[in-house]
Amino acid sequence: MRFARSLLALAALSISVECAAGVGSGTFRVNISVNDPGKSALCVSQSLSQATGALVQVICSTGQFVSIGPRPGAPFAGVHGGAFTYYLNPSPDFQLDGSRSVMQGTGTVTEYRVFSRDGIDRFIDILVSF
Amino acid sequence: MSKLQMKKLAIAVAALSAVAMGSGEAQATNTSGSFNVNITLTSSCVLGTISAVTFAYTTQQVAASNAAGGGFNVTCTNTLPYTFGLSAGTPGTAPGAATLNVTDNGVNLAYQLNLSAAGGTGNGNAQAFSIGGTMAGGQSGTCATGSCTNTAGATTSSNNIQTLFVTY
Repeated sequence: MRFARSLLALAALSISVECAAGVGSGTFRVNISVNDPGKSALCVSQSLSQATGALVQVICSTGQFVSIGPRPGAPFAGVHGGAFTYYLNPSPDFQLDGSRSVMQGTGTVTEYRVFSRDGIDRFIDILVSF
Repeated sequence: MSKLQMKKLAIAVAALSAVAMGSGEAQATNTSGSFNVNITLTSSCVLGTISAVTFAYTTQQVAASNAAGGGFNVTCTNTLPYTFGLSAGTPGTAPGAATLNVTDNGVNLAYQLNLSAAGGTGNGNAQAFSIGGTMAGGQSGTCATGSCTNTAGATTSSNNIQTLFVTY
């Protein structure tokens, strides 16, 4: 009986040696960089008026970004309330490069990157309705 | 046979015997024995340096962010099978798992790590694998300024070191 137990013990030992030869390990870092455009490039309308056809100045953390006002004699359809949306009417000289939505608390900000295909700076008409 | 012939024969036999005795020293009898060469090979795997897994994330980005880096080499005994496992922190808990979910406590962003393969079979040479990572879109993270990292400043993480296990 004792001999049989010894054999069983030896068999179990040999099996465990074959199954668990060894374990190696190594550590590694997980580096994360996060960019928050809401803080690095926050732009607000400093002179926003509730009146239709108002002059709107957009001020960014890096300084004034743009002043937008109605062009004399041009149609300006204003509607109060709602999220601000900048409507761009791309001409053959300009090209839209995608868009994305960024949550800024309340409302939705829609962003467009606009650039000139021929590399020449020129005015861009932007209609703002609010 | 005459006496003379008998005498010649005796001389010849004596000469042959002398020659035979002389050649007996030049042709010693060969003998041989065999022996075993016993070798005990302890199989093992050597894990190389693991490069950092790196995420670049923009708050509330729509698409998921895939990590860069995470490459490593493992060198195992020829024909030795091995498996990989990931575990949080260090020293971690063997054998680890195929995937690892972590929320970085510095920048407060959740990510999942995975492996390019569950394991392999050693061939005596360095074999290349990698740890991948995915960070889901729509996360805000924590960052008081325009940009932050989990390796410096107020958002320095204390859980950004993970462990890879190789079981063989």
